[in-house]
Amino acid sequence: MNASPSGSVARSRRRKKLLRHGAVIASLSMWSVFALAPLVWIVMMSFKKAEDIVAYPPTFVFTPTLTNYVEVLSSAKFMAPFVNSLIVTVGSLLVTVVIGLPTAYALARFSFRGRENIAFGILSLRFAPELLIILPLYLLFQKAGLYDSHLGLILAYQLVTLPMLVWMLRSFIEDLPGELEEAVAMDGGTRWTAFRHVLLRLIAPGLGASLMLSFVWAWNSYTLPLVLAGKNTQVITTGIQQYISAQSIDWGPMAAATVVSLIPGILFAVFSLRWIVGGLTAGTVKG
Amino acid sequence: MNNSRKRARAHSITAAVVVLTTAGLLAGCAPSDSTTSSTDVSSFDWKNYSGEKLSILMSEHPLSDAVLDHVSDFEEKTGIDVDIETLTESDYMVKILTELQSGAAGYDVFMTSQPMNYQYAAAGWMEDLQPWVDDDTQTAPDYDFDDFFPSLIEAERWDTTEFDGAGEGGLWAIPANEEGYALFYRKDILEANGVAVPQTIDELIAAAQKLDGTEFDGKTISGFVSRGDKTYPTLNPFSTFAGAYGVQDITDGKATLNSKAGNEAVTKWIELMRTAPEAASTYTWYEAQQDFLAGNSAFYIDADHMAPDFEKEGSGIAGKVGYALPPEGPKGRASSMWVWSLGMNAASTHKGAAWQFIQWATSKELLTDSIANGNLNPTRVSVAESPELSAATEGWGDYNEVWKKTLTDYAEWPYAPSASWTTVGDIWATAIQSALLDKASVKDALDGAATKIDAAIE
Repeated sequence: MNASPSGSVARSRRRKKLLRHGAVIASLSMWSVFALAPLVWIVMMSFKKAEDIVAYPPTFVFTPTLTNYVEVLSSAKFMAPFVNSLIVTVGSLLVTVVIGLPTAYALARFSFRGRENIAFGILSLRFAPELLIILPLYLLFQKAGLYDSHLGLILAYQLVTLPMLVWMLRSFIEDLPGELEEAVAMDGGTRWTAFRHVLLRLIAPGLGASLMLSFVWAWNSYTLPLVLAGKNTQVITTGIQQYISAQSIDWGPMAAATVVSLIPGILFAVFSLRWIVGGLTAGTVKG
Repeated sequence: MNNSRKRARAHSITAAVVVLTTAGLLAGCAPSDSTTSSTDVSSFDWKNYSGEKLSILMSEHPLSDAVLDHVSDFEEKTGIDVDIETLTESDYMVKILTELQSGAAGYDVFMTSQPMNYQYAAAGWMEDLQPWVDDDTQTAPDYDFDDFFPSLIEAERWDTTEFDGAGEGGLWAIPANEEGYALFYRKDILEANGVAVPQTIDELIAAAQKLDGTEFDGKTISGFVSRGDKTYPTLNPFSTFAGAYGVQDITDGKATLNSKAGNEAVTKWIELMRTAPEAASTYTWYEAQQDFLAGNSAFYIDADHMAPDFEKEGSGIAGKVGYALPPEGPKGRASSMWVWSLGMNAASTHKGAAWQFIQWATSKELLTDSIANGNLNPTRVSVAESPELSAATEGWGDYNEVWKKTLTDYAEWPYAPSASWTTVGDIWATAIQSALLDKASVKDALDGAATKIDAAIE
């Protein structure tokens, strides 16, 4: 059997495949090393003592220390903005889902006058530079008592998170055949049952992906919270920079703060990836 | 079709009106404390404004650390509630500008400096503090305004005439921290190579050239380091050269930084910068500082308030740094100054309370207390001469004498005051950088800059 021509062809094909795989993996690994180098450097920095950080030429071998993490995790200087960021990001994602999901559904399934205009209007929020609206928004927030409040930031973040979610989900829903919901109606289900039991499961990957993007944008948002957050609601993007003082920079704690601030994003990505995969399988079984 | 479109438009207009009205109603219903507090008091009392609430915006700085540490004393003393927000310098600049532009009176008191004063005072966003200083019913009898270094108070005055009127007119802020520019050197490197502390610009260049590339402590060191970035803060260390040659940036509304003196100062500065690491042409203060902290350079010109960072525990150069006056040129010694100060929002609705806060934060007591937070360039003569400051800087060589002498004898704001000064400064710094990078000759770079500046200020 082994000596049969078809066997050797299969083997050489397998070898070629392996080679190609190997090359792809090698180049991707090299790319990863290149892309992740700054991150690795920051992680290393977070374990270094002050004198190792400024050492020139840079040191790769050093005695690691946890003092930077102890300092960061034990001080309100970092923890308060960190918690604020969590509250505001999670809050704005919730609001985005509650408003965005029905909006996307309506824009995909109902036909009404001005539908495209409304859809485009929502998307255009993404085009407008934040600086353009920041001054009127600041005034409005000051007057309305929304300045320096979590609610205010959650509302403002909708400018960043909502358009993305609505547009991504709208196209996901449009791609699904309307017959699916009609089938539920045939079985005596309402529009709501169809939405909850059929549509929601099928768009789960899309929802996961757009929530992941929205999370990243909300978490990294800079200009909006810089102007609209105050002492009580300072978020991580401005909070990390507090280690830069007038005459010195605390590189170690700043690196540790950066590493800690990466964790929620990574956790969220891992979580929503599962969701995406889960959603895909759910779709396969049903399909 | 046409009809339906019209109807749709009418609908959206109605919707917009509803949204706007709701927003307006919301704004109206919100609890706002825009009631103007009366500043009509019969005599000074720390309790005059008890019950009011102040919002303060500060930059990350030893001064803000001190204010945060002691603000409960102020609240107890006055019955005024204080809310302080601190941001890193660049963020705080963006935020305070937004706030002042909006006219919202969100912050009553904020940190400021001369170039910022020029911009804000010209726009009418800042309160002139002179009437407050002069008013016995508002100013504490023991405030002792005359205790401030005169050159600092002068730097806070400007009559808002573009490119003129410095040191006259309104008093826009009260100084709380000062930065002068000094020559730092490594005592050990100079000693090992038999180099004396340079007194003049030529001596400094010769010494830096001699030391550049020599081995010390297992490292190849560079002769000098400083900022070279193409933004106006680079002019701060360079000002020691500009002043030593008597360069004026603007004379009678025309750019004169390309004068003979202007060319000489830049030529000498570049000669010195050639002994710095190549990357120094893009360094800002923290990269230059880090290079010096890492023990890579023999000489460094920058703000004297960096000393606490050189001398702090864990620093590899602690105890090895010498402090000297800025080097002398044909017109003597010179230094620019940066004055961190406290200013009042002209739109504030709590001006009386705000003035009490400014008084407290620039009092002898608080400035003395702030020494422990690292605010080591006090703006009051009495604090500069206090035993607390001597104790804090003990073992720092000549630091204490040098910063005081720089401030009393040499430091001044050497540029023409203008709301658009930062634009002028950026153009000048860019020209110096392009000459340093050999993109243009010194003369061409400065002539080009002068033309650009003239166009910009017209």
